[in-house]
Amino acid sequence: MSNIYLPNLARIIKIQDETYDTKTFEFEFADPKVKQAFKFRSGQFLEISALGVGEAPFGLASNPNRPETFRVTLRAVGAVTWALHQKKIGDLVGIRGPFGNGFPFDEYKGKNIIFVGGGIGLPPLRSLIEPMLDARSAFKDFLILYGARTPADQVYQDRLKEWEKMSEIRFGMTVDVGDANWKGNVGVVTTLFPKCNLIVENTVVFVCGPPIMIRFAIMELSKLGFKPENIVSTLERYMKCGVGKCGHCAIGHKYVCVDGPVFNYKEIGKLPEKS
Amino acid sequence: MDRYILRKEDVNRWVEALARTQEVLAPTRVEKEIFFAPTQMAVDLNLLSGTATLPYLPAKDLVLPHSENLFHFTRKGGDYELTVPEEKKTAVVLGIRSCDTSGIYWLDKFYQENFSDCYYWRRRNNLILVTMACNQPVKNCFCVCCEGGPFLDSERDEFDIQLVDLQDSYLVECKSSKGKALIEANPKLFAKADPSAVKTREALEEKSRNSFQPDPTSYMSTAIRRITSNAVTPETWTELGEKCFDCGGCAFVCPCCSCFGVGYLNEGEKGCHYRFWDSCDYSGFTREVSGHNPRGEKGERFKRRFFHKLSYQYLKRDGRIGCVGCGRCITACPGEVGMPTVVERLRK
Amino acid sequence: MIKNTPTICSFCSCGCGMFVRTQDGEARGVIPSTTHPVSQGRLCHRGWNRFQNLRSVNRLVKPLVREGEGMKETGWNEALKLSGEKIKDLIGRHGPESIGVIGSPWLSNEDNYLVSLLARQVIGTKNLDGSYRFGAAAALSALNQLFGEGIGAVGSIPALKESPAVLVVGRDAHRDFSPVGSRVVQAFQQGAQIILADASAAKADHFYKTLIPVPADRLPAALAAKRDIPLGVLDLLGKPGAGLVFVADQLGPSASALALINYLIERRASAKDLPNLLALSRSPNLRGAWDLGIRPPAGGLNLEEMLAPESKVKGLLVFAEDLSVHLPKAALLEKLKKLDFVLWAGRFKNDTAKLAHVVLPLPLFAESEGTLTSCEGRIQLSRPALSPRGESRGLSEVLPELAQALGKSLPGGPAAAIRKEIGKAVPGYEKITGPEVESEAGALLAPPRLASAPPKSAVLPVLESADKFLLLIPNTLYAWERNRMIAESPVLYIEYQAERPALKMNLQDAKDFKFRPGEKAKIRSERGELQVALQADEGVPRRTLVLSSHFLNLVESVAGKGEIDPVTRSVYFPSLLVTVEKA
Repeated sequence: MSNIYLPNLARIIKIQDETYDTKTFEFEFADPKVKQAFKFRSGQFLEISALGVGEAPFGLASNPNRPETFRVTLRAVGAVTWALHQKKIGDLVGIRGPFGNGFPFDEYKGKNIIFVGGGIGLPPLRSLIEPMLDARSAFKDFLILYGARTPADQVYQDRLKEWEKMSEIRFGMTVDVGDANWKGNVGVVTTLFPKCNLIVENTVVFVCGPPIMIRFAIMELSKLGFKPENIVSTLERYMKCGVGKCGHCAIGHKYVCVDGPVFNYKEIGKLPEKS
Repeated sequence: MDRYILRKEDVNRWVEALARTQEVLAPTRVEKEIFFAPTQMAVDLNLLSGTATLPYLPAKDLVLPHSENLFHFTRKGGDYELTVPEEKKTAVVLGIRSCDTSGIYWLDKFYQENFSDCYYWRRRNNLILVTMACNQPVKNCFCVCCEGGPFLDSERDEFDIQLVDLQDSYLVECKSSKGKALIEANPKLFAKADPSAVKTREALEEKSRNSFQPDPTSYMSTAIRRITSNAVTPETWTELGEKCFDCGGCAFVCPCCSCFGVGYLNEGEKGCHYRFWDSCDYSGFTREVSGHNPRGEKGERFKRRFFHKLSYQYLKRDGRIGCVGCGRCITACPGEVGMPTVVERLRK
Repeated sequence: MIKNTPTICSFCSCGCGMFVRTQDGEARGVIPSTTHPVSQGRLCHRGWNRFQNLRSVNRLVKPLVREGEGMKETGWNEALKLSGEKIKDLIGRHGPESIGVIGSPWLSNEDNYLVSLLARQVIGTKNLDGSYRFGAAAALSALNQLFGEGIGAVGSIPALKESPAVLVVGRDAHRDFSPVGSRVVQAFQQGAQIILADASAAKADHFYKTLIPVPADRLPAALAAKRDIPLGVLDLLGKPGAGLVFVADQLGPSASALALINYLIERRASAKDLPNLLALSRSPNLRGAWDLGIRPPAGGLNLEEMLAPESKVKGLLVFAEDLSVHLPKAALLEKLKKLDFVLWAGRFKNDTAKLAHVVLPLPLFAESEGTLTSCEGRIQLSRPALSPRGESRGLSEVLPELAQALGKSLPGGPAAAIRKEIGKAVPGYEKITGPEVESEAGALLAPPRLASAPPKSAVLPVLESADKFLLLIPNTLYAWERNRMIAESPVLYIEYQAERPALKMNLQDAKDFKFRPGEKAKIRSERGELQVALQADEGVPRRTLVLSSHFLNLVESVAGKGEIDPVTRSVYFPSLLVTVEKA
């Protein structure tokens, strides 16, 4: 029986500063056998530990088609993330996972795709965007909308520039508050909706970001006619074990770490507690 | 299923034979409390009788202890070495009550669904449970309302061995192959049971069931129905929650509670990750690092715990309700708001 | 094989009986004792998680001495030799009164006894005190005024269940001490009248029939004026067995404490039946430390006076108290940092250890034997379940060696030998020497005897505020060593969230003022003014503000220097009327 609580060690091979408090870490498993066997689905998460300090769940943010290395983006908000932010290239961390249901990739084929990401909500969505771009022809219209508080709060700035230039997808960016150099849209991400011709029929919308942004986005999408079962998000909860045993992430009779974190809004509506 | 008679005067010889190849844990008094302790030959027969004397902790303590180390780590240069502590002892648990056995089976189901928990299973697989049926309930017992006892059902339930107290002897009901192996440790002590012994056993179970409340089956079902359909008002949950002291005791003593937290120790060159019993009654149980707490209100936490124990949604998932009627929550609760009090309040 | 050691929880003054469960030299869990008179099979969330701080790795394990800006590990002999030299040097140059000694309600009776002897006999200083100077000293002084030096067994937790009426001062006195709260609930279920006096609770739980929304320091005046209480209920407080439950750490100045306790004593219908007085504390041995003399004899300085800028104290020996974290005035911390010599003996690494010149590691309760006196006056034995961590040693070994280094002697030996000394020397503690102390229910102190003429005291009037707000400054300075225990437990660390420096205001009041979350308010009293962020809280009553006293600078801005309690000779901050406006 495998030990679900024993982490595998992975080395940090790259650190990218995204914003003043957010970094992207790229990892590679230390054990070549583990590295070889590692596979994950979009939307799954890892339990990453700074040994002796703590362990926390982080959504995978890289392309599952290239699992030899993997990335997560994390903001320093507590003891674990702070300890991880102190680490350097070559340092080891503990990795358990991948856990969670992930996005059912094949179900989205043949549909129009819309991504609505806010701030640090973009990383888990990116684990779905990238493989979809690898298989671009399987999807119809493809729109990515990204909003951040200010230009300095944007993550993946290099990749955003690339998406802006891609001819095979549509892309919109906005910030709540601009700066001297910002020439793009100013306003919350929902202000992009009327400007970007959202197709309602046969479309699935992925929304991820701060709770307030999600709430307003869902409101506007509903007004436009999107049905709850076609709006998909990742639920946030305090998680500890990641394997549906410790009980912390349970909502109603669902465990976010096992039955989620990916849920559509029809399922979320049926949960007995507010999320 | 095989049925035997074991005379009480032969019990210690049986234990002696078993103790040659494994540990025998039997209920023992330590400073007035009852613990399961290793016994080599002298079992306290008062604690192995038909009267429902319960240890303070349920048998879950044997498979899911209050705290256990998950792994130790040592730093070696730029590398870490992780070691998992060993757990290899096999043991016979002699004299576990029906409610506690039912609780173990609830935990079995939970600890193998989705992902199998190897820390739980390496203890569990090494245990053989010899259940002691209760001819006589004690003050806080209500197992009969929860299908947790007072006897295990010989037809429907899976078990290793069930003992029934026949005064000078025990009826030994042996179901699993593990149970059979225990009989084989000293087969001369076991005589085949005659039909009259079986009749006595049935009469004893009937008598035991009748010494509980007059209307057991509807006791829980009204509460289950109301919780499942979300028909209990938030004010009721707030009122019940006001009595709760957030001590966590009910979750710790409950045979069907299994939530845990994880602690991290870091001593420079070495350290340890360990897990420990946690309680969903604690205010920080669902608090996220941002400070947002989906169950910040006491009433909501209280509602959550009983939803997990009694709702149909969980019953379907787990195969039985999350309560075996052992009554330990009544003992452990400073606010006097254990399961029967809550169920009665929900029935109003 | 799990070992189950019967002992006392020692997280607070209730003194619950429990078993600490250990295996392979590690603490693995706890269970309550079902037959112990206080715990009766129940514990609170601190008790249930007691084993976690026994696993803490943040412990002091070797003696340390200051070297430059940092600390260096050293052996016991060097540490004690150095301490002896420093103390002798100060005594030689400035006299014995230049040394102050601080004992602790977080030490056993045996340890506190030796600390007291160290101060009075070995060093010859009268400057001896405990951390409770800023909190429980007021209530304890009141109890001394009423019952003499040997306060005795003034309360009983089990008997609270049979009370006809219980006056609970502060909701915490019920909620935070679950054996007491449990008996209050049971009393209610048997028909008792439960009265809650609390100005910071917007509403009382359903079993408090009467709520007196007045803070503890003004409660005697409210009771005397019979405000908010039905008459019949007041009469019940005079019946035999009536209970008064309060948190001694936070009761306000000694005059109010005296008037409050005296209120029930005076009203008693039967002369021989004293009310059930439960002076609760968040420390496990408040009574023991106080009864065994950890307070200044006549002519000595108390803790606040020792740390006053102009005091003659130049060296401080601090035993098991994290002083630097909670002092009521910023100036006191400044003085602590400037002392010529600080000895700190304790269990965990903390800020006071960083200021010290010599640090000595002590064992935790579950690592050594010692007795504790509970709030009831029950002396109970805390037994070791583990060996002392690292090189930590108990004070019963360390202090006699320190005395030797000073050319004197102190009784040493096993805890039982020190108990014999205590039994001879401390009034009311005769039973500490006998076998009863080792029994499950411990040994009760002698029954209390009322002093012939309990003194009257002037009380603070109730504040009427037509258009002003009542600012409550709850005394949160009690929490010193306890906060460390909480921080060292993964569960409790999450349960006790650190408070941001902010003023709490009723949610509706905040809306009426149109305050946004975190916006600053300006509050003004006749003693000063303050601009501080607001935190809306629906648990706070209308027209009431709450500012915890450990937000030192904030409190001093609006409440000025506070008042001096003439009995305890320490500062306290009474509740005030303030105006509120947007900043």
